[in-house]
Amino acid sequence: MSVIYIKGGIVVDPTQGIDGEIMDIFVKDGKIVEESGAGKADTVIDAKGMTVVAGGIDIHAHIAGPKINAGRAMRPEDMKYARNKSGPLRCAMGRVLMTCPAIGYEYARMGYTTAIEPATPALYAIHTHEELDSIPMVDKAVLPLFGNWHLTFKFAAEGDIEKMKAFIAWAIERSKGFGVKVVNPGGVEAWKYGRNVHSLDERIPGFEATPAEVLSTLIKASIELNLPHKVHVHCNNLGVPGSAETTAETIKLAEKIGASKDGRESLHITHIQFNAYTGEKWRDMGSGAEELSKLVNRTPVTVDMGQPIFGHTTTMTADGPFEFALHKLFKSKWINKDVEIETGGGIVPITYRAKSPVNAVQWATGLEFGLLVDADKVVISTDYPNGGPFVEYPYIMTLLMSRKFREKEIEEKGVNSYIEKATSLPSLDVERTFYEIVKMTRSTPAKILGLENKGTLKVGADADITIYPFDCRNVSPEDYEVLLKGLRSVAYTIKDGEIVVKDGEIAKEVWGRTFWVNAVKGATQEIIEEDLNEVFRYYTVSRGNYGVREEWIRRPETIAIEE
Amino acid sequence: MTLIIKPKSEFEVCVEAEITPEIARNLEDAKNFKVYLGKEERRLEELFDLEFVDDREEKVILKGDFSRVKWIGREMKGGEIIVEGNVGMHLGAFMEGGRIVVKGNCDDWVGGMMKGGEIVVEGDTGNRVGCNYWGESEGMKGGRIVIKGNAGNYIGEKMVDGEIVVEGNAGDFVGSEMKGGKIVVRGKAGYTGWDMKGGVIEVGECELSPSFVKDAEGVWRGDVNVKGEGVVRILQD
Repeated sequence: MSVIYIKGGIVVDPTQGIDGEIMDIFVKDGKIVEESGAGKADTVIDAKGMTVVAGGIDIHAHIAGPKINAGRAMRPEDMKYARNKSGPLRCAMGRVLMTCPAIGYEYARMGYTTAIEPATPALYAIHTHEELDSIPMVDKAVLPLFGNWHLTFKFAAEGDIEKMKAFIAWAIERSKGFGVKVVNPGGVEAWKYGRNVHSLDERIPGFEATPAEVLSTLIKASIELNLPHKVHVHCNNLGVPGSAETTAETIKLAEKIGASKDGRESLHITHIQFNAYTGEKWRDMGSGAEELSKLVNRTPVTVDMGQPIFGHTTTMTADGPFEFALHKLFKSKWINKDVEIETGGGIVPITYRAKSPVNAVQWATGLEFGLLVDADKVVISTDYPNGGPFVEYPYIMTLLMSRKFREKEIEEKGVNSYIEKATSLPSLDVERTFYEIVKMTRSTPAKILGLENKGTLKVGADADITIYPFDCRNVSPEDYEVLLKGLRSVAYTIKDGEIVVKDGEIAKEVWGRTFWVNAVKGATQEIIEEDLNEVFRYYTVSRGNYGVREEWIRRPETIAIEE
Repeated sequence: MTLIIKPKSEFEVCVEAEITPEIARNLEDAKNFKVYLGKEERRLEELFDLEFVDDREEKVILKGDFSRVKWIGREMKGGEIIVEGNVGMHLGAFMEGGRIVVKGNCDDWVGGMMKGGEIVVEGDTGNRVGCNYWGESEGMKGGRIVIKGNAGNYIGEKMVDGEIVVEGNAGDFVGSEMKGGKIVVRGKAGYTGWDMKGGVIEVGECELSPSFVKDAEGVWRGDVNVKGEGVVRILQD
């Protein structure tokens, strides 16, 4: 490990309240250190006139697991796009659905150093970890799916928080996961009978529980377990007009339960844009972002945007009924997946068109959330690959920072004028500052994930650093082109104290860590023994099929929760 | 100008060289044209001998064995490529205009998703002539492919427009999921017309999908399984 001095850069670090001060940063053995403890420099980076921030964190991107892999198989036409085909690096392909190396390289080139895969069936966790192990450059973690697991329903119906705690701890330990992901709670179970659930209080077919009970029990249990990242939810009724109401009800559930013990939020609503439509039919759909943003700002809830990008992409979620509806809508090819296990998902290729009123409203709604929710509560995401490729984050950042750029995009792309009626975007003159953008891509996701050594440049933090090739104090929203160019191609990315990207090109291939949470000490495991054995007596797979051993993971890092 | 290209040696791994007549415009550009030997990036002159003839044409002549060189004429828009020998996969893929003449045989994927121009093959071709690439919903959209010898399986899958003529025989699945355009096979073909939605196939002899109906004029129409309006004329009927 080497010692790096980053001299004279303009530092922005919201975790220390630093906004554009000229400072030196010292890196040793993969950590940020004091000048006195650094020793002799192996490399000195002259960062004069450049902006130094922590490495970016993607809180929600489907970068590994059975769905993206099936998506790749279903969309070979996406693989025509070669990102890297020669040289010492590995072949990197894919326009939206990228190969594992492409995912790692593109994150690094954008200055991102951590990414979370947010939806994996526990049974397939072993495959997900193998795929994560093939993604270079970034640290990663995986969230197993709980929202449609029969045992979840059982403990929710019984209202048994202790058993739910033990179950969460068991499942996360078995899948080497990081937290609790819930997708359309109860809806995917209903999908197994060709149906869906349409409200939080509808009974889940075959069980006594309702989606509201499932969510509340999971939130309470994860608060009591003290998980670093609390419940990560894809709400019911996603992607249909009227979904804003369901989202508001979900947020109110968390409000009733309250914040975590450490004061952080207790619920993360992911890709909220897809769940924020008003109206009754597609014809009168509108954006519920204004109301929802106000609600999010005053409740213990965080969100990520789920911003759609105009163009082709492939949707994939563990929400089977929603994907079926999409397939019917676009008459496109599709895959229905994982229904035989504790989840059930679908994959459908789609195109977001600026001229389509519905897509235009989606585009505007995502941006409204990015502009209206506190920067401490909203994270930039495209819900990769559902909204579009994550390589467009710099584009989203620029849209949020410059009203002029938004107006230009609306004009040039011919965004349907229905957004004037259905959303507040055209009249919003909010322009995010660079400081806020750094929050939304670094410190806020780190806080939501409970990763204390990420998203910060404090002494002792992981040396994951991005150096942008512009002076953030001098770039005005008028110069959106400079911004976009600088954000797209970083001057340096430093990962664990090594320079991995220089001038937008990969300088070195490195392998990140996989974080997982061991919470088995936080709950009495014995109390669910009987329930587990009972379920697996009638299940098509045995209990032994669940489980990823730590030694099977390239660089595992355990976050142990004591008590 | 005319550019004559000869391989310097036999290639152990495949070369990807998206050579179009455009590179014949300037000697320096042609020398530095990027090609790939396996995963190594090379300049054209490192792998091939280049010779320029200063004339008024925009033409590339490939001399020698190109059977391990892929993607020749990819996305070409005009001019002429003459191959005096055999050539590798993906000849004239996404081609929009101009003409390619092959004096020898071709590998698979001749004219994949081509939109215009003409490809003439004096020998045989492999499979998937004028087809869609994997996952795409539309194959060849225009232009003309003439094969004087025989062709392999899957000729004109998902073809939308244009013409494919095979003077010899063709393999199985001629015109599967075809939507428009015309395929002519003068000799014998295997399974023909599966899931055909539109367009015309003329074939000397073939094993037609049973889901076709013969009309009063003796022309087969189908594929009825997909409510298709394709036409198949069997010349030796």
